[in-house]
Amino acid sequence: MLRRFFALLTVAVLLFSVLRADETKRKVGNFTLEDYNGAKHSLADFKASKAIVLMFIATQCPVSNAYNARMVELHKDYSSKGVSFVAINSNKQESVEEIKKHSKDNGFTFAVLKDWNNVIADKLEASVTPEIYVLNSNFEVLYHGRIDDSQREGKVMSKDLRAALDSILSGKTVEVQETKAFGCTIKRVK
Amino acid sequence: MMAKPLFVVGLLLVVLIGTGCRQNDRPGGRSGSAATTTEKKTVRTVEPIDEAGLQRLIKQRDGRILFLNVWATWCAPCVEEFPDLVRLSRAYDETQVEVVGISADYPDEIDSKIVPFLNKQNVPFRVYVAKFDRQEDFINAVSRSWSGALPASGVYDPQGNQRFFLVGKGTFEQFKKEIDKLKPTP
Repeated sequence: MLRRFFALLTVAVLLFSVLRADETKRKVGNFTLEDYNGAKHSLADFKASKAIVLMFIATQCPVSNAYNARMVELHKDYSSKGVSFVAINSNKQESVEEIKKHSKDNGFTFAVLKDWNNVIADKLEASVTPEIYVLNSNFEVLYHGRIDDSQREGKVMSKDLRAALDSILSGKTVEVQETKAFGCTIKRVK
Repeated sequence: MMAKPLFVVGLLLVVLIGTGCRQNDRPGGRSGSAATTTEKKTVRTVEPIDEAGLQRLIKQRDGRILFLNVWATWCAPCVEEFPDLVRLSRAYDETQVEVVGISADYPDEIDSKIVPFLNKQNVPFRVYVAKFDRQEDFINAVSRSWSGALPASGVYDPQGNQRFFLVGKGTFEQFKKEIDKLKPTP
């Protein structure tokens, strides 16, 4: 009788922790922003994706710029697997024209959206560039943090974003769901 | 007959001038005349600091308050903030309040980027460059609550406890106010 009680208790505790973990998953509300050509993009447009990668980037930040080629490479490697990539520029001093030129100069193959008045950066509490949020189709945050652990590609030891995407695509739980993004502060309007 | 006394006075002058330059050129020393500043440019050293070094810096205070600023040459708000840090370091006796900078540039950029920047800003306080294998270790060593955004500044009491931490650009007045909470008379 006592054995059965403890078995039930264990199951209840496990179930509670799973539900609790699920409850604490952050959810992002739908939003719409324009790209540098004035075309509107909503989070809801990517609902069919296996994962949505939101990348807060900058045109002037050397750390963000150190990742330009890596972001293009990530898009190339994962877009065919059903992952959508969207870059967001929330820096007040970086104009749409500057974003357009920067995007073309660096061969970005993904949309770069302008976040006027850093509304979306505030909503997600993004603080630096580059900073990544990976969402599932319910817009729940599955991974938040850095792309990898070094702005110098040759020194990278931990490819955190790739690891998160690989886990999601293979139906596994993302092992490291939160890392600290290192970079330039997003220049917000006061 | 006059040659010997003149030689002694001359020798004394040379020794005094030489000693003065060395004292002013110590890391953390105050900059003085233009000649001293010029000398500083040639002898300034920026040492790498690892996790153990950072812990020692924070914990072994010898009764001094620590103002720690993490910055990088590529970080625009850090560069804008620097004149306020220079002013802050000059506002206090360094035996009571120590201002220290830690650059998040790479150790192999000391000569090419860090030192030229410090010389241009005429920075009188000690500056290290972070030498950590993992970026996250550096972030957590500075403060567990730090997101990794630059600049970041912390005030530590003489016991090595963090009493203030700011992510983003601060001002001389703001930092002074926090230091003065620990030390009312500057």
